[in-house]
Amino acid sequence: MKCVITFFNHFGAVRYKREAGRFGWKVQLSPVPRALSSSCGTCVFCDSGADDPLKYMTDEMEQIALEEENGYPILWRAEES
Amino acid sequence: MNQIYMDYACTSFPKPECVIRAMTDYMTRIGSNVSRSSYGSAYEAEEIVYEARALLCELFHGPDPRNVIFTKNITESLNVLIKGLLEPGDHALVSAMEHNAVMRPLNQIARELPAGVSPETESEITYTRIPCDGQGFLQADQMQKLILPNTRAVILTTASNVSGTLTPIEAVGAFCRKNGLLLIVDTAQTAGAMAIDMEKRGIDALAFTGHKGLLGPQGTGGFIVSDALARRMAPLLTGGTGSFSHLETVPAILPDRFEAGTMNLPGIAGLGAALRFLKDRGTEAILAHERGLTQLFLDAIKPLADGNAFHIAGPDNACDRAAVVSLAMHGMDPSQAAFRLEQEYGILTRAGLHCAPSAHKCLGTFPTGTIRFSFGWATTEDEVIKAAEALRVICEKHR
Repeated sequence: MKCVITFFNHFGAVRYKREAGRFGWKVQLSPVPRALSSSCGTCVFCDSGADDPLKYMTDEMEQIALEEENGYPILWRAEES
Repeated sequence: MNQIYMDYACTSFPKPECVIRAMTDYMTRIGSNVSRSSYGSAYEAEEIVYEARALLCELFHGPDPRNVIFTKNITESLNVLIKGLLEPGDHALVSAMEHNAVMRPLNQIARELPAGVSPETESEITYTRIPCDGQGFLQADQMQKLILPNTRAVILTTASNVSGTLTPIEAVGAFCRKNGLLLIVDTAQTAGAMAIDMEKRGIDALAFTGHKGLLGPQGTGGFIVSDALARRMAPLLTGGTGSFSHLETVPAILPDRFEAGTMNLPGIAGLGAALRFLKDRGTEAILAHERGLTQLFLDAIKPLADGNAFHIAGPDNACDRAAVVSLAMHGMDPSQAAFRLEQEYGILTRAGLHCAPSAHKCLGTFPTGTIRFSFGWATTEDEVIKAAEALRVICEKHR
């Protein structure tokens, strides 16, 4: 499954890239698409293949959006605190 | 004349080659800031910083890499911790051997209370010193009676920068856990050579410096603090973090909460390389090396001490101290001794009060101070023997 993950801070994006690679997912750091708003300017484009991207979650994740032709529908969002 | 560097307690020199290479590589090939822009070299810089956090977390057995906060030095770290954690009405315990990096920020916000005295008001911050004996050993059995109803934290160095005397952190950690107190440690003189396990020792906040035993460059340091504690602490410095940029308030998330502004990225690159070097070499190997040198020096100068040329401050054995030996000279200004060692033999030491007047008062060397020799990863046995011999000649010429 292809998705875009945004984070509360850059640390979270870097940690995700390092750790998610262990599952064999393709993970790329990138500027956040303007269609998505985020607390930090770096996101991860992730291809988790047949895996559910919700399999690996961290405290630093802000939202998971699906990467589709017409936009980025939100799959999951962290609760407001 | 070749120099013999014996001032590792001040800063380590030389640094491993890999540290210089890492800093040069960052400055010539990468150069980008972190937590700001989003492109390849910025991501590479992010990885370098993350790796350094992860190595520090592993070294100190901290809770998580995000709990590793970078500052410019341990003095800044201790300022953040002391001023961030203590609130009006709190009381703290410190040892009588603390460095001014603890005592000055503490005295800025707190008043000293003698043992057995209660604070006058509920709005002041106060502290009491835990006594140490004439060799600098903490009198841990005195701690229980020094606790007040409002005692909140114990702040201690892991080893004295004057005498090298080690603090019994394990026993203090157990005491703090039993009494519901926070334990904050200053690891300036032991990090890199002696294992410090935050979880095992019950350490709530740990301050470290990058440029001494961790073998990184000056301008690096930091602290490790739990999520819960971090939430209670007000940061010393606030500003842009590259996160929550839509808000003008300080974020709660770590490490951003305590890392406003641009960090010393060449320094952190160097520190990361130093940490990998230490990991490869092994803390035990470094400790064995430094302990061996310290014992060699103590044994070599003992005849001079027995002949009353000077008094060796601190413990008799190397296993009770960091690789630091201070001498209280008899009939010779320690500064003169240090000057002659450098001019005639190229041996570099530090004389004076070492930013630790309280320690010198404890050791009986205040106000004259001592000449301090401190050893490290690159010191050789030959250098230690030469230093002892140089000392012998200088002392005999002075008689």
